[in-house]
Amino acid sequence: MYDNHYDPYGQPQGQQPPPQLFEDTSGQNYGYGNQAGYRGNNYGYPQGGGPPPSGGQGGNAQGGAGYPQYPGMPGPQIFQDPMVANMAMQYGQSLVGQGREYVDKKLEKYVSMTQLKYYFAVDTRYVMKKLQLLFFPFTHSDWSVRYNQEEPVQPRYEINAPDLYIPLMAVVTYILVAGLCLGLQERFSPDVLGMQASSAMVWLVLEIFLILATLYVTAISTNIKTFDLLAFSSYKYVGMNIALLAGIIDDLGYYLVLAYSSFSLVIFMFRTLRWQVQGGDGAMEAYSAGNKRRLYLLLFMSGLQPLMMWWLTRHLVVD
Amino acid sequence: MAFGIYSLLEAIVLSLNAVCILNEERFLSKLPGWGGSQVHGFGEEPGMKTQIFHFIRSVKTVMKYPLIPVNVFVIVFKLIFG
Repeated sequence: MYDNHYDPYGQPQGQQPPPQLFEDTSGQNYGYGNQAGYRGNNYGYPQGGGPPPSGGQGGNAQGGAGYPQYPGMPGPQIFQDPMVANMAMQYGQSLVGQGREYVDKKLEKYVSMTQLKYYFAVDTRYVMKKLQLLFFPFTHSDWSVRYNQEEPVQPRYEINAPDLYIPLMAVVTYILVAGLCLGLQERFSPDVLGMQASSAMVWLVLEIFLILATLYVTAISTNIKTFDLLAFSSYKYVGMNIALLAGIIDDLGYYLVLAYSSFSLVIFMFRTLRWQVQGGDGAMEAYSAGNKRRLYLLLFMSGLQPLMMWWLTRHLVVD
Repeated sequence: MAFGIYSLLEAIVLSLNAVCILNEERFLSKLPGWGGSQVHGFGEEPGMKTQIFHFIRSVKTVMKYPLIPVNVFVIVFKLIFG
């Protein structure tokens, strides 16, 4: 039973206030009388929400604080004490830092986060030049990537390095443009967007599996990491977006833009990968059979791109 | 073509089943080149056939036992949910 002389809820006296769902740590019960025991005990103070409060226990018949006060223990209102509040906050922050470090360490084994950060270190100049290269790779002459062999290079400083920013933006734009195309043909509903997204993901994964399997079976040693492959496989989404936008206007426009962008993408991929697949330092390897295999692999990877581009946009542009 | 994540998972399970089903004594031993357990020296080029055989052997060794509960789970799942 609550004491009737002080009712914080403003309800008429005599009516029982609603049951306490949470501990009331508002400033009503603030007092300096509890300084004695807060040094060591406050992290284990009893949660008093469970048992119903008996009003006169321990002499703390304060309205609104509906939890039992154990004699000698500080009780939760010590957190209003600023020193205790500071200590608690610092402890909490150090816990958060430790927790984050632990999660990062565990995640590092599966998806290497530190490596991933390099791929997103881009700036505007790089993005503009890269997009220009994707559509007009004919005049660029130097495709080598100058970097220290151990650590990956930031795309900011090297125009030929792969990045993951453009592919990520391109994939998201593809999903939106697909929704736009479907909407223009009256075939849109919100779950179609999700299906497009997941099927784009699945085709990407399949393509990377295929390329990795080919790399393994033919036993070619390259410097290409998996994230590089992911980046290279997703550059085609840029061309697909432009082709789809052209396809909205006219079917002929779609085919023309698709043909041109797949052609330029093939040149781009071939030139970029030729440098990367052949040992990475630009020098031709000694044995000749490896070179033939590498050439075939290059042609295979580059030739796969237009096929995928056509396959993934075909169902969105219907005549 | 509408693929979801479930289709991909199903395809992976089915392909792994297909690799593990290949019978060792009736079929694989009869293949020329199967018994090449030692890679000849530290050759730069293991050759495509030996790579494929290595792959098949390692998939069978690793996935033979875990695939049994995975298959049971997929069968029960499809029985209940169609």
